[in-house]
Amino acid sequence: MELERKLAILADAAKYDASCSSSGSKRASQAKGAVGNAHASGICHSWADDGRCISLLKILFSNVCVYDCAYCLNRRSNDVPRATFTVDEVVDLTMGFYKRNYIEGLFLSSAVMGTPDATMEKLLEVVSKLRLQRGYHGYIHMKSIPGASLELVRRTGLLVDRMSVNIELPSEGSLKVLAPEKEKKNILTPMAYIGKGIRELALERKKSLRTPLFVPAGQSTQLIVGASPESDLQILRLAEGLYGGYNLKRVYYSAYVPVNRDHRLPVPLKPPLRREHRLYQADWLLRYYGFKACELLDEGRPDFDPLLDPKAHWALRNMHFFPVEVNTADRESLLRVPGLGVQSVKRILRIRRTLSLDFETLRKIGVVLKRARYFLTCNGRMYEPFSFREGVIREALVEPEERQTPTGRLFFPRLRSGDLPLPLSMPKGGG
Amino acid sequence: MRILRYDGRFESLLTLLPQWERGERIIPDGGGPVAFLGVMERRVEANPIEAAETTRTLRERGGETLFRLLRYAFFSELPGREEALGEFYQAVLRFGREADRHYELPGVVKTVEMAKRTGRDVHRWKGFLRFRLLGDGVFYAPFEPDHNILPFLTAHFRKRLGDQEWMVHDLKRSIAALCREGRVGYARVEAPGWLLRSPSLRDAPDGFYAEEEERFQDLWKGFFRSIAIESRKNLKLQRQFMPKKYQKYLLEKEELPGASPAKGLKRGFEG
Repeated sequence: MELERKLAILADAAKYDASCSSSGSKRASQAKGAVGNAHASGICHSWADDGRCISLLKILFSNVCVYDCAYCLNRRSNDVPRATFTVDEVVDLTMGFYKRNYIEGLFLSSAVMGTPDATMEKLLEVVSKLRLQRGYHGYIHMKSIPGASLELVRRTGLLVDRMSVNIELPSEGSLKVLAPEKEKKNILTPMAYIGKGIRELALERKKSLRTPLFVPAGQSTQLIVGASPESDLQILRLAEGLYGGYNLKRVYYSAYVPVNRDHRLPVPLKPPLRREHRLYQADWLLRYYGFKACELLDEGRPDFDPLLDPKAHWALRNMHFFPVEVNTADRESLLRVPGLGVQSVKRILRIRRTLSLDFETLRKIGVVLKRARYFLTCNGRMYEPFSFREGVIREALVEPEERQTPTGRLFFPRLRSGDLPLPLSMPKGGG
Repeated sequence: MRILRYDGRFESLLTLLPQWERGERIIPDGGGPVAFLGVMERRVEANPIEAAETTRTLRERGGETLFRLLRYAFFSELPGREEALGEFYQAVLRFGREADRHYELPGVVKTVEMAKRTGRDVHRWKGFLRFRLLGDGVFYAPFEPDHNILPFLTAHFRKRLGDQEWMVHDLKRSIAALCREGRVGYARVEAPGWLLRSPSLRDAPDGFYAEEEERFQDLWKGFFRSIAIESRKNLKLQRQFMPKKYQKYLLEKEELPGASPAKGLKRGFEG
């Protein structure tokens, strides 16, 4: 089969995996003949027609699968074109694309060919060849195949930047119904193993820099949203547990796109993009804003309001918390103000040590007041004297339904003035 | 009014900054009117020793971060940058490492803003630059940045591309960085007319690009099409991230040969 054709089939088969991150790893190459490095902040190279960023060559090694999972396009019983790369094909594609700056690295996954171990060995062969024979130091994200031996997981972890095991279905019950050949323990065991490896080697590295890197960009997983009946609260609790207990770097949410007709699956007209977007927003609140899942949702209200973002949703139910005084509030309180992000808060904290902040100065330092103004005071003064009423605020915060869901934006690395990329090394003391 | 003139180079500006007084205009050669009536005018030439001294002062007082900020702001090439940098320089002398917090000073606000714009441009092009293999084995990337970012990009690709021989060419300013065996040199390079119109393979003379180039470009275009999820199609969002001005250099936005014959035909009739 032509390489073009294979690439078309195996990229198409990989496209439902949401992860596009290329950040969090720093890998340099100074040796002769070496190519590539990993950029700490991550770089997007393109955006596909669906608005999702492309930073990695995202492909399956093969889509010839022995499993028959209900939600999956590549399941055994589907009549779809099948293809399998050779190791050299993947290596040459990666090198060719990387040298031309099309991509930031490789994201390699695969259907299960024969056994999990046999599959994992093939993938390991690809990354070994890239790293050890071709001197490739760019980013590699590799899927750990559920059920593969831990020894293979360990050897892979020493070569790649990120590993992931996809949970896909947010509860064991759904897994039983929709992916009867996969077992929960086959997913969680390697995840726990990788998490432990990351922790241990990171500790050892503090003592000796000779300790090898082990999955330096961390591990991630993916949950499909809308293929099974779990509530937002259940999903968010699961994510919270994964961040806490398994040391995960990222949980990705993937709006279920119906690719199969199956009586066990719902038939949504459109993928639940809005819901996916709300979960990502909430995920950010868990990781960077100090929120807990149980604060954002409860049994009485287990799902997010499609019209309000999770932070606004929380704020409107906790009006007693506001207004927050910009000049004296601590970081935690500022982070809870709708419209204030991590960057804005950082800037506020830095600048208020020198200046007393009013709304005009806030605007000048780049704080967007569209939403925040309802929840802030500057030296005791509100933005508008009559605005602190729930009804008014709710009206102002609701997002128009027709607005599109900007999922891609979440992955776009932001630049800030204090964090500019390093400039060119130049003659000391010169211009 | 008093005016300082200089040749527009960074080194000259570093020479000039300590001499600048509030209220003075600084005009680079080729920018602004040639003569004013009744003004005091003075020219400052680059002085490597004084420039090095300014650099040292900036690094010592403001730290590496603020020096970098100033460099980024300068290379934004935005109008009025010099006076803002003058005010910023004085702020660094007065407030040290905290100078960039002083948002009450318009020059500081402007410097931070200019540096941010340059930084954004650098980050975008780190992703959008596309190298094309030339017939003589050099990986070549033409581009048109808003700001003068070539030196900043060069650092990134020198670390990344190892021993590979490459050239990044700013077509807007006609300067190119060439990297051979890990060492970078700069030169003025004028691009031929066809290249300025379009860097695409179909418009290039035979032998300009290497033979294998077409194959990789087609593989990339094919990948680009396959990776999009049809039911999530959102061209508006895509354009937001990849504004039109970059698309000339993004191979994946060119058509695949034979992908849309109807369109090709139509263009044939019009052209």
